[in-house]
Amino acid sequence: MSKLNNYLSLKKLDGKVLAVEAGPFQSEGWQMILNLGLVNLTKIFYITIYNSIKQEIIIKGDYSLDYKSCILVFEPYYSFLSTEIYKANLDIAFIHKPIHLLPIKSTLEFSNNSGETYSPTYVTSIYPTTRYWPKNILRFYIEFSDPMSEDQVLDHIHLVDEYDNKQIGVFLDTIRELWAPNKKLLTVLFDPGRVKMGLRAHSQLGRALKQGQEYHLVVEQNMLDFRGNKLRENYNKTFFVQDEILTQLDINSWKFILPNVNSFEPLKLIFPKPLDRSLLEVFIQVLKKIPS
Amino acid sequence: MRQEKNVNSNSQLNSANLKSADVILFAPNNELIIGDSINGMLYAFSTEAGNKQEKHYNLRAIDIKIAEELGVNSKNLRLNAMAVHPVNKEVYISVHRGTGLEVTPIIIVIGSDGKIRSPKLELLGTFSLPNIPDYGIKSARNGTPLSSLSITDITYHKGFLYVSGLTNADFSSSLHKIPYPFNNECISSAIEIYHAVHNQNETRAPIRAQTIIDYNNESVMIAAYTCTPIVTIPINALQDKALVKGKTVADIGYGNTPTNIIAFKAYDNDQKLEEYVMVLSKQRNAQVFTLKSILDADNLSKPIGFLPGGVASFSIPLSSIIRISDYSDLNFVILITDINTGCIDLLNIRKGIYFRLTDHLGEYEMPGYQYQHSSEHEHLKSFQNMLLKEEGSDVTV
Repeated sequence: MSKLNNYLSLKKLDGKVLAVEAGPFQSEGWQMILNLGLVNLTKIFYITIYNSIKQEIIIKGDYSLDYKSCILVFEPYYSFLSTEIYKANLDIAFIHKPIHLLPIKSTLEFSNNSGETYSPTYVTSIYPTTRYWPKNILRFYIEFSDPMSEDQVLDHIHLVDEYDNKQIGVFLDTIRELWAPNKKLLTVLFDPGRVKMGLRAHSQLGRALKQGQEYHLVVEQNMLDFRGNKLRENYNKTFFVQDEILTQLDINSWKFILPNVNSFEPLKLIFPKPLDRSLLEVFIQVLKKIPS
Repeated sequence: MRQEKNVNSNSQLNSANLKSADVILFAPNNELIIGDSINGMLYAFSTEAGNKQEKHYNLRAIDIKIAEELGVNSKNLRLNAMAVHPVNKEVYISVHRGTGLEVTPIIIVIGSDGKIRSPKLELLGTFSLPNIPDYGIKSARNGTPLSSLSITDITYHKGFLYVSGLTNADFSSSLHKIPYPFNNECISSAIEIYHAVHNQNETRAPIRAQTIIDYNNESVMIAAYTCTPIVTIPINALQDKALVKGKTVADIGYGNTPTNIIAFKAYDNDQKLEEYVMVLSKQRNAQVFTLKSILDADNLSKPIGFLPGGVASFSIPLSSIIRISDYSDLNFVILITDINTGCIDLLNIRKGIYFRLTDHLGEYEMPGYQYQHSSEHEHLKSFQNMLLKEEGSDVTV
């Protein structure tokens, strides 16, 4: 076996194929590879479809060289599929002349069976993100990484108290679920009849959330995304219930940290308490002042 | 460092997050419209005008070549829709690379020289269709997700995009009339038809293929449904949330899904330029109607059993067509499956003739065949030579 073989190995990582020098120092052969032009590079390092039926398919993509780490990276234009078997070929026989080493061949067979192209949908966040919710909170938002199927909210989203009791009848059963058009953001309402004072549901059942208690919002893994597939995992958000908030918003209590002129600094707004995420995005806008 | 620059990922499609590219067409100013059924969205992209190409398409096994460019076996590639660039006459094809969960929609451009490249696309606007079917709902028998039918066909006509497909309403067969360029407005009508083979009024199954023609200051959609009613719909009558009744004029037979309808002009047997409508199907032969016969037709309102009925059509020698597009005054361009090789060819085909001489081995092709010294045969010979040349053959007879 050649000396070079000890130093170069093929790996698949994050949808790319890497030829990596394994040794601690830069070999002569590796230097030769780094000095090759693109045309020659494609002749010594290429990826084919191993199970190709009718013709040899050479995968097209970008090459990049990391001189410092001694890594040669191939990134395909289109992701590797789980339905194909690929073969990475490293064959430095092509550059036989200047190297005083035996020609070597190294291959790596792989398939994209790790599901790199498709990752299951998951809950990215529940708003408010804070751990303390007021007991008269009316709504919260669940954000998903991909679009979701409809008509399953009340079956798969639950409120559980600290003694693991599932809370029944706390969410409003709307005729149409409240999905944003991209089907990634769901609004869930607590039954407003129990939240708002002076209504029969409020006086008979009381508020769903009891002050000082801990609750868990559970989004079940069984909820289906637009492909009809389950979520990656159960999502569990724990929050503690604080006293109700009955005061109106007071914009005068907001702090504005203005960016410097001609800079790319952000405009910062600091609120005295957490606000409704979705409404913030709708109602806070930067307008151009028209000279009077 | 790029290996070859002609095909790379459609970064514009990726950033617009397309899930599928089921229907494509050109609107004015060379703007490419893509219908994405899964997202229930329309996307508009600008394209380059480029230079007009003159040659004929004679590209065999184009699916193999596309697969090679995109780094997949051809079985993992689906050729979905086709449109011809209005200026340079290049063929745009939407393909789905990968299967199942791994599908990526990609637009490629194929020149008549067989060169395949990625078009330069700039996103101009999007439109979100109202009330698309929920992702979880599937067809009763084979479990097809109904969201895959939110868009079945799109036609551009006089400042509007007419989009057929399913919605989640009770009368789910819908026709959306959407101003283009998009301005967030949309008129959505439910469509009801009488299906003579089934002997019932139908409001659920969607239009599968459509075209729009102007006639006596009126615009009429000619639409085809599965199993296979041919229907006219007065598009001037479309109103939001109204039920519009189509007029069934013909039925080309049961057990069939139509794939394309195209209106065109061609010379008839008497060398007179005639207007026609062609319906292409998955299972049945392509059928051609005269446009006049469709527009003058009576309402087909009685059951016809299992035989075709209504306006008469004639059968032409075109089957196994995936897509057809208008190409020039004289030619269509077709994506067609060769049933011997299983490969897909991209070919021009003459209007009015509907076949390629090089596909056939008849008497004329047999060794020793002599053409007669008659004006009829001289004419035939020169005609056959013209076809052979167009089809890329270097043989003359």
